[in-house]
Amino acid sequence: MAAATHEPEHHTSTGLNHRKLLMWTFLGSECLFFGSLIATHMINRNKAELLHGLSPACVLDIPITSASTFVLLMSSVAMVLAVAASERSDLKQLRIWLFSTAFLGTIFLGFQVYEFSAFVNEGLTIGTNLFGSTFFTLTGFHGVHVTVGVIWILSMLATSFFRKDLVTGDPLNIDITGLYWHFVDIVWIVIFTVVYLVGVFGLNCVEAA
Amino acid sequence: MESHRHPSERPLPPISVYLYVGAILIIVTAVEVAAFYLDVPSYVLIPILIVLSLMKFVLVVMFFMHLRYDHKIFSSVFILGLVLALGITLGLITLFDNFDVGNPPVAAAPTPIPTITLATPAIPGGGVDPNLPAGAQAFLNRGCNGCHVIEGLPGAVGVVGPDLTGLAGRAGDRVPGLSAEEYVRQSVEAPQDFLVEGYDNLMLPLRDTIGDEEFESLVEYLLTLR
Repeated sequence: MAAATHEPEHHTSTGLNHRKLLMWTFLGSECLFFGSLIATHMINRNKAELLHGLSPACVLDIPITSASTFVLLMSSVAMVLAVAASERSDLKQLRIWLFSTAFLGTIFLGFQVYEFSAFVNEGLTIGTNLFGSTFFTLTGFHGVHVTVGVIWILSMLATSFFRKDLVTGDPLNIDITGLYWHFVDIVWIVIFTVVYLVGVFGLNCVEAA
Repeated sequence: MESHRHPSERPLPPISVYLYVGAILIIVTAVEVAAFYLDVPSYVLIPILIVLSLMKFVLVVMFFMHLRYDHKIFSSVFILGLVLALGITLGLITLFDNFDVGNPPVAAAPTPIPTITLATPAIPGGGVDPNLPAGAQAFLNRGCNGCHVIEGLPGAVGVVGPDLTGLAGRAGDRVPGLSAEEYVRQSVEAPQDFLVEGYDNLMLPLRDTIGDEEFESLVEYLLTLR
């Protein structure tokens, strides 16, 4: 490929690219980060004394969150198509799919903004009870990761206009962006099942009298 | 092509593979949501949901993140983190959710929540806090608190009957074939049917003296105890 015009990646003892290895190591550590937040949420979400009508069963909205989950899954498909376009040095397709990914990611964030403000209107804030604290901390940190991803992807899209060589000559740049984005997606796959579906199933909402 | 890939790595899949995986992800999510709305007992549904979600996780990691095609070292560093994370998660849940080790004084300082003004909590003999859920009021009014403990419910201090703290979490597993709700319902209606080990059949039949509405609210309340 045209990579011949570039300085090849530095030789490493493993023969593998250090940036990619760094990203995977980072993602491994992110598992610990989100794993701890999810566990803390599961332990504390139904501590009875302070729920008073603001329990998972009362506030979590499964239909809306199913829709936002669908959007985030679709963004992952768009991202992998962007990575494939980058491998083929197909600049036009790359831009289309990068834009689609960032667009879908933004819609997901819109769902989250809607969800958070709806919860606050119902009286559930990060300080209300243990459910609120652990829920907003967990999904808030996930939302921050999505935001970082959207900014990253948009910056790669901008790069594709004034430094084409960075996104087609070296597919690794998009590849690593993709790894991050897919990780954010799989964290949501777990959150959707554990926090939303399992978290609400079989529980009745008891309104405060 | 693919100059950045290690010579030992397998070639990346064609686009069609990505589209198939994307379709599977959507279908599995739809199945999960559909299963959620079916009336299945939680000990059946929850394992199914976990397996389906795990399946989606693995599909994304193997195909979208290319671990199936990439060098083993990438898998190793990621799986190391993942296994540690799972260990921490399971460890924490086991310690704090199931066995309630040491029972830390969580309920020691319940602060009133800002949006709902809590009056003075019910003091035994001093009337029942009208801000409590209807079922909790029924629980106190009917004297259940004289024999059963519920952590976080002031006045529920009796030790003649089983501790009901976290009842909803285990009710579904007590009798095979009975959901948590069915178990709780029958236990109130016919206390002698399922005696908890170590407790005698002492509970007074309550169902004949309690109205339907109050009974329903009591069952509903008991099912919120986690």
